[in-house]
Amino acid sequence: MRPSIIFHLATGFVLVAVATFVVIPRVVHRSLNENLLKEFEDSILAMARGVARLAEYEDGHYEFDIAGEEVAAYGESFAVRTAEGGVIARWGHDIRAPAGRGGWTPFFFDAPSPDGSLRCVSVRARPIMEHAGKHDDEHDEDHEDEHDEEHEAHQGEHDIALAVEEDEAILPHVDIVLGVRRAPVDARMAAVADVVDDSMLLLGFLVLLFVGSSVFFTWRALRGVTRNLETAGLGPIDWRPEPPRELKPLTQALNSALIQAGDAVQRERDVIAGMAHELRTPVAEMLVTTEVALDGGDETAARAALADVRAVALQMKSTVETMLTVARGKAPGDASRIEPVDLGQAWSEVVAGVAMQAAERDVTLPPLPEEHIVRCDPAALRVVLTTIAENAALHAPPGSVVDGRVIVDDEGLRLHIENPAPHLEPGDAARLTEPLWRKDVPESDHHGLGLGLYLASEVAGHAGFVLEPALRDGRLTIHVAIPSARS
Amino acid sequence: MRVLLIEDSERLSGALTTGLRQEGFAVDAALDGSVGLELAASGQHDVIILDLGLPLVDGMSILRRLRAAGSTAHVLILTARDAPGDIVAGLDAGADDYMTKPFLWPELRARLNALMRRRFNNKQAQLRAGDLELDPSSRVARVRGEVVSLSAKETAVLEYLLHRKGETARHEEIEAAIYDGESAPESSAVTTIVCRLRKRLENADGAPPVRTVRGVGYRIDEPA
Repeated sequence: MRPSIIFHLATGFVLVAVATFVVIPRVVHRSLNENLLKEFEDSILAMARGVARLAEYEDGHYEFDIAGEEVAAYGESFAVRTAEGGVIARWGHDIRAPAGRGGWTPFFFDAPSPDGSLRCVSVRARPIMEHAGKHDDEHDEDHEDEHDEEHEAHQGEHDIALAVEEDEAILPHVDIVLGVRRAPVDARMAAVADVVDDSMLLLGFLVLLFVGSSVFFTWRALRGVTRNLETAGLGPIDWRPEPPRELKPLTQALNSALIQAGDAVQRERDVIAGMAHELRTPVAEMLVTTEVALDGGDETAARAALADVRAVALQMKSTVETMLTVARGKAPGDASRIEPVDLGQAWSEVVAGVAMQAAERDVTLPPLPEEHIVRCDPAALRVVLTTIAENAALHAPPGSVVDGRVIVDDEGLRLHIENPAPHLEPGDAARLTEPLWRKDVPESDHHGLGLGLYLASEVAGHAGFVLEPALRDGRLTIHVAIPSARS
Repeated sequence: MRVLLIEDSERLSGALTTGLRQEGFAVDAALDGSVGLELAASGQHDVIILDLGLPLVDGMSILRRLRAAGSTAHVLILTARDAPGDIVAGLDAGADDYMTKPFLWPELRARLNALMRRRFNNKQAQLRAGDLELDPSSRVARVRGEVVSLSAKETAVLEYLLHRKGETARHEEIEAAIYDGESAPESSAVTTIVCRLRKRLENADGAPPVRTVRGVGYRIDEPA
């Protein structure tokens, strides 16, 4: 299992735990309290006969429209205001002070806080008519008496009666009764706690369900990948597993590896197809030559056919050696074949091998001027050099001289083989190493199959060389970068 | 029967030319597409064996140009390219048959004989006229079951006349069918061969006569 999956699972578990034990209880608790508060407020407003609007402000106060007037709640105090902002009635324990004066009754709400702890006590008042700003003691006393009676009568009930006042005027009694009946706060909080406990049980179950389902789906995804991998061994190379969502990064990496493997296999197919193409014609030559000789029954013709077959067999031997070199070169990390090789001597041996072909066309292949020791697979080097030398001998114009140079620098050793190539056009240089691409040369009687430089570049690539053809001013240069013995 | 072989492998071309001549075919060979196209344009060949990967002019171009010019020669593509796309493209371009290398010599021979039969609208494997029959594969002629000994050229003339049974074959047509570009026949060569063939057939009781159409050529008819 990848570490990222463990991390994701652990993170998910922590998040669920935090949500279960911290966030959700608070939300539920707050929601219940808010519901109680809302119910309380609704009751107030309903009893106030004229509820039009409720507004909640961030600073924790509430404003209510009551018959065109406002009831404002500031923390624990309430007031009824005119639409213009004048206070016409107030209540709350912050206005206890006026109690006993002017008929004010100390109604108060004990902390109707918006975030819980709603402890509403029952309060009752009777209508009071008072001249604002002018306190009449007599009048107050009367009202106090009345209030006391009423208060006692309604003790345990939860009503509020508001007096309404206005500057410079005594308003008629505004029959605002805030009738609220509430259970004791502790009982309500106990009920809340019960609900929270029930919620905790439910959430615990949900956590178990989530963790269990996560484990199950992870196991199922891994099982799917395992089966896909088992199938991949039997299926086509271009097969791609369906990426499970949980393991998408893993399957993407797997698909990427498969694409690279597919590319590698395609290259192998190309090389094998090229080789097969290279061998088809010689095999056909051998078959037809021998069968025709057998049909003819002429001993002289048969001997000539045998000579042809031998020549074809030698050609095929060369091809098979190249194939083996390519195959061996594909084995990675095998350094056993790397050894110091004298490049000048290797080139001389190759030139000797193509001397007859070069002489037929009067093409001169000079030796390299100095001894240069390189570290490489000698078989691979021989294939590369032979291909370059044969190409020069067979395709350079008759009478031309092939130029060979070696440049040694910090990056290694670079061999440059250059010959006139008037038949090549600027765009041809890049195609010289393409499989089966060939440029027909009118003055050359050797047409080839277009595999030589392609195979040489394959061999060079696997042997750690870099083979690059370049065309300039009608001259073809094959650059071969080879690690020097020092590097 | 005259065959044009366009194949850039000199060794394979040589072996095929030898083999086809042993079979009685007149063979012209070209080692590149340019020469091959020039020879094919002469219109003297019954069958063209065509490689696709050719220097100078590739095989597909030759085939398309021949068909565009109205050539009726039967074309057998003989190539190393064995991809289904190549086969379809070759046949769609107007080839009559397609063979991939490497191949077996008897199979090539059989396919050539099949193409010859198609060229002369002959469905029968054996060429017959009365009691005379010729097996193009074995190159053996028989009259009433008795083998008639014929030279390669006599067999070639007899085959050509039997393919065109009931028609008059002109002197130059017979000559073009049995001699290739490397042979330099004398003007009376066809007449000489026909005379020898006629004598050999006359010795075999029951063979239809090779008739002379004066000033035109020769013919063999189905006996009444």
